[in-house]
Amino acid sequence: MVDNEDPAVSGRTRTYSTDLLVSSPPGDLRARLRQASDRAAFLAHASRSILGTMQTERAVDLTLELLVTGVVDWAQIILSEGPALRCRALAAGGRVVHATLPDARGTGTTLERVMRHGVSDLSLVEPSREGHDGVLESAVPAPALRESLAELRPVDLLVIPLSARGRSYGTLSLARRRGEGFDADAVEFLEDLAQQLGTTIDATRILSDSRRVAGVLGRDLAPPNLPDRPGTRLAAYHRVAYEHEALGGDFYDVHGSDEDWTAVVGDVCGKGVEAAVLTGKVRQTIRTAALVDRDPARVLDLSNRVLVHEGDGTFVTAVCARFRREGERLQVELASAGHPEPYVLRSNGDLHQVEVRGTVLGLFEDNHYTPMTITLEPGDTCLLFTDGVPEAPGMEERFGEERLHRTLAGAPRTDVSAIIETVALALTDHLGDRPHDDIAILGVQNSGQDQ
Amino acid sequence: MSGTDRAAAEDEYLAALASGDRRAALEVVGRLRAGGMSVLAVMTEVIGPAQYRVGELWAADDWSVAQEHAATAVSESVLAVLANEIATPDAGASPVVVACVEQEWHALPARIVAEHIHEAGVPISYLGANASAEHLVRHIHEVAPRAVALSCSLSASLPRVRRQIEAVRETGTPVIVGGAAFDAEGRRARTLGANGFARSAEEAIDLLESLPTAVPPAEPLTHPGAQESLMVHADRELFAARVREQVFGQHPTDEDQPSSWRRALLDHLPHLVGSVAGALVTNDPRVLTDSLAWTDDVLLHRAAPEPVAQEIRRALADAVRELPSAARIVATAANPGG
Repeated sequence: MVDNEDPAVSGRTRTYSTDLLVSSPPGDLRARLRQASDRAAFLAHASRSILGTMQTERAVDLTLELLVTGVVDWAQIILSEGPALRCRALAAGGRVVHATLPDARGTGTTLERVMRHGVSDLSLVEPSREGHDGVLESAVPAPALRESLAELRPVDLLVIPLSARGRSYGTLSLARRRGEGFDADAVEFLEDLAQQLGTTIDATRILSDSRRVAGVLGRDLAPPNLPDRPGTRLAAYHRVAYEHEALGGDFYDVHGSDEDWTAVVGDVCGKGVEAAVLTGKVRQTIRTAALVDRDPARVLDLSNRVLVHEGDGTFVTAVCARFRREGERLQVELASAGHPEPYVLRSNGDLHQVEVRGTVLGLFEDNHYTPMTITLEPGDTCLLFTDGVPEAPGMEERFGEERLHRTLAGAPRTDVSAIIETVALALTDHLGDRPHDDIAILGVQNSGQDQ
Repeated sequence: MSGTDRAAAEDEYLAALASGDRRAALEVVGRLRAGGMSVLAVMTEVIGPAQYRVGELWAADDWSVAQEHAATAVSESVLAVLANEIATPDAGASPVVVACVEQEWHALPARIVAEHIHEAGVPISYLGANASAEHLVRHIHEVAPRAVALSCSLSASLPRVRRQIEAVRETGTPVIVGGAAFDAEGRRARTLGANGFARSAEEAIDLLESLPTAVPPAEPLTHPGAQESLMVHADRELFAARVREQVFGQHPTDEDQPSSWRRALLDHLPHLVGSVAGALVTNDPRVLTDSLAWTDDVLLHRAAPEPVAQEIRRALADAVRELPSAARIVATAANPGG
């Protein structure tokens, strides 16, 4: 249910005690003061509301909502974006109408003039007419948007430039029913408003651009999707220390063919986006090494030499597992570089850690890694995790090896995603809202059934 | 398919959940589909009720936590298979983001609602369980959704719902809520500043049609107790520890293994204290009344000594006695009759 009576629920904006545009009589100081304070409140509310959106389209829609609820009968915002004009309009009580048109440069329309000169334009739009409708078309180029204004005619139409970074990049058009109009005082207030909104909407444009760049650059640094392989099910949990950066120094990766493939869980020293950039490099190094030879000890050996040669003092812990199917069994070779020992959860309830050890990557040239082999029978699961799990802080103590063991002992064995979820839930409960390190868990289950 | 066949199928589905048998569960669902049942009907009439029953079975101490998790994992993967049968709407349209509030792991109801919206032709961006405010806002910036639908089933999560409504509306995006943590009249949802409240997937779909494209930030909460809800929520572990010490102090034990009721109470106390914060933030003592009743039920099935129920209420009252609104809410909720 949408409750339109209640502004808190409907999302409609607050109303003001005075009409923001009808000038109070000069003699009535009390009324003038009240109007000034209402105008200031509207400006503050609008700026705060719009800035929060951090997204241009929504900023525009919200601006339109605020304007047609509190101030005018119809509003339109047109932004010039490269070769296109993006037009959005809203009539009081209606829904946002939008259209994209070719750029208006050189057309000599009201729109183009307002943008080029940076000066507002006030005109009268007569009642609906057949055929050509010059004044209106000149200011409202999109037919669908003109339609949304049709019922209100005749109207006074005010077109104001939206400017930022030293140039006009769009227009704000406002319409009021004939008779209500815009006097000089109202125009001054609305131009002030447009100046503020112009800067705020432009800020969302700058944000969109940098967000797009960051998105493209960061795409490869986020954890990959996990495709199940024949007879095998995978599940993972990943949580970063610096949530606002969305990226961290713990990583997992899965690559190779259906018959012979590699899973890696690792931890690059550091947190946040700097660490994430390193995980990208390390993941790529390990992928390349695995292409040469999928033997996990050789993979770690080769990756170590690459990282030492890069010589930027970065060190990395990782566990590398090679999976090969033999009938209904899954053979697993594991090698570790200073990483927490993986768990094996048997379908019969048995639970133990694989005591595989080795030196961290990136510090010493002649490390040698000794692999260990385990067999996963159908229903068995192998769990790789980073030290963010046992290190997770609680109210009194860290999550700890013992609690992890207990949690896994109580986890269902039937489904790897249920195992991961059990650990994730216990961890989240334990962490509360405390700051924590990066966390990564990857589970591989021999499901023994081909789905 | 006759009513008896269907009832039998529902029993079989629950049996498949009981043994965590994904293949058996898929087989039952396949049979229902072959018998003409729609994808959505299987979700709302078979999977949903079965999962509800799973919760009851755990509360009654008939099922272990592990069984409950295994059952949920099976239903989740069955839902994923069913979801493939729903045609994908136009990729171009602005999606609806469906998520569970942070630290909420009961994702199934949200998933079912998401599939309904999807089936109605609206693209869905499904974030699933435990979506933090940070994650949600970042995702909103990435996909520019037309709205966010937030699911919450635990009353202890209501303060987080408020935080997330604030975060979402800050971006100008309308947010609707639903789930077991809300009252049927939608009063809690309204108090928390949601732009709408849905009791069912159908209501959610109708609601999405009528929402504005952009909304202003949520108004600040001004009711008595709104401030205290933040304090109780932030220090819930501390309050829970006080209640734990006071209640367990009355029942000393020298056994190594905590008894079943102790373990259940230990796990549940932070949520019970969280419900005090939930009652405060929604200005609705019934949030806590219901949570206490549920705790009583869980403890009853685990052979807790009879006075424990009253001791918990007393300890809770003692723990929050310095916070006037919280103290009032605990007093009201602990004696709903008087």
